[in-house]
Amino acid sequence: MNKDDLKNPVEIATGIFWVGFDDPGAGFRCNPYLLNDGDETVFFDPGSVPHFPIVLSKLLKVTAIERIKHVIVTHQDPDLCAAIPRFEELAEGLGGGFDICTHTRASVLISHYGTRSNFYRVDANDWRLTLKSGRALQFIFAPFLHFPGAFMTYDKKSKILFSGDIFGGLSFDWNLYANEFYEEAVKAFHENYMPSNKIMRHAMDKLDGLEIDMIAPQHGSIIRKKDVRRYIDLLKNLECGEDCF
Amino acid sequence: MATYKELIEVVIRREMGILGRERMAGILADLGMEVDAEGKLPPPGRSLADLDRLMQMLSEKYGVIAVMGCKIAVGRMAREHGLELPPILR
Repeated sequence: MNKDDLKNPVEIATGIFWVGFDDPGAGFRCNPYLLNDGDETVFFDPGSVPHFPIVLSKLLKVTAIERIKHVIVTHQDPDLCAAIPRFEELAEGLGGGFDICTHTRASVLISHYGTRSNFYRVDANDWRLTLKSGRALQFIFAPFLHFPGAFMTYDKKSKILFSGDIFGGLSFDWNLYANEFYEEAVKAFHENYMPSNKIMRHAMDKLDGLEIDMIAPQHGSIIRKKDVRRYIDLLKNLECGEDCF
Repeated sequence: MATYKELIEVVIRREMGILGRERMAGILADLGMEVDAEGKLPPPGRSLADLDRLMQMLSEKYGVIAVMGCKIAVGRMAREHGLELPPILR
């Protein structure tokens, strides 16, 4: 994939799009994703205020603002959700609107960005969201990775795991799909931002029963099916956070 | 027993992932260091000063992320083998 291809949305699976951007000067960037299901769109980690224009321009190539019904936010960091109020303004102006799907622990902080949408608290809704078509999104609690209310989202239809910060990487040499060196970028990120191997293993064990065709993290590179098992095992065994003191 | 050569090789391998092979090759060329295809340095051995020069250049060219990305891995190895670290890695 050449860099020009990244100027447009990239369909990573049927009806699922990466709508992020390549920022060569940054070691850290956000990967917003869209999932189109009939006339509903689910928006994962919309991104930051400075990147709102580029994310919006890509979003509009594959959906309409009014079709966004759910914005899934794994935690409250500004790089992934500070732009929500801007999307809210547009949605309201066009007669649309969405709920913000997140953990209770994050909802109390996200509201400080000035959001107005209702919260769909994943921990209060049996850890699932069912779209109008019946398509099921399963939420997997991953506490303290790194936020206390962090979770991952598994789409049963596409078998894609939207993993939030988990499986993310620190990298200036960013590629949309993980290359041979991505493992080092993952280690660099998790050693610094995740609390301990024990807490990491607790979440990774939950993935053992899932059939995962792709891991789509909120930043870093997408992990393809052939590498999924290897990266889960990497994180199961990685010393991070307090293990490194 | 680990040596500064091995600490530097940990940095090189880690930064291949963070900066990419090309950028890292550029850093090494500027420092007069060459590695083989597996990222290993040839003899002779390396010193604390060599590690410090490498980290200073990474910091100057790529900032805190480049340093943060390898600090923990290098620090752990240094502690295990009783090797002194340059101030930038403490």
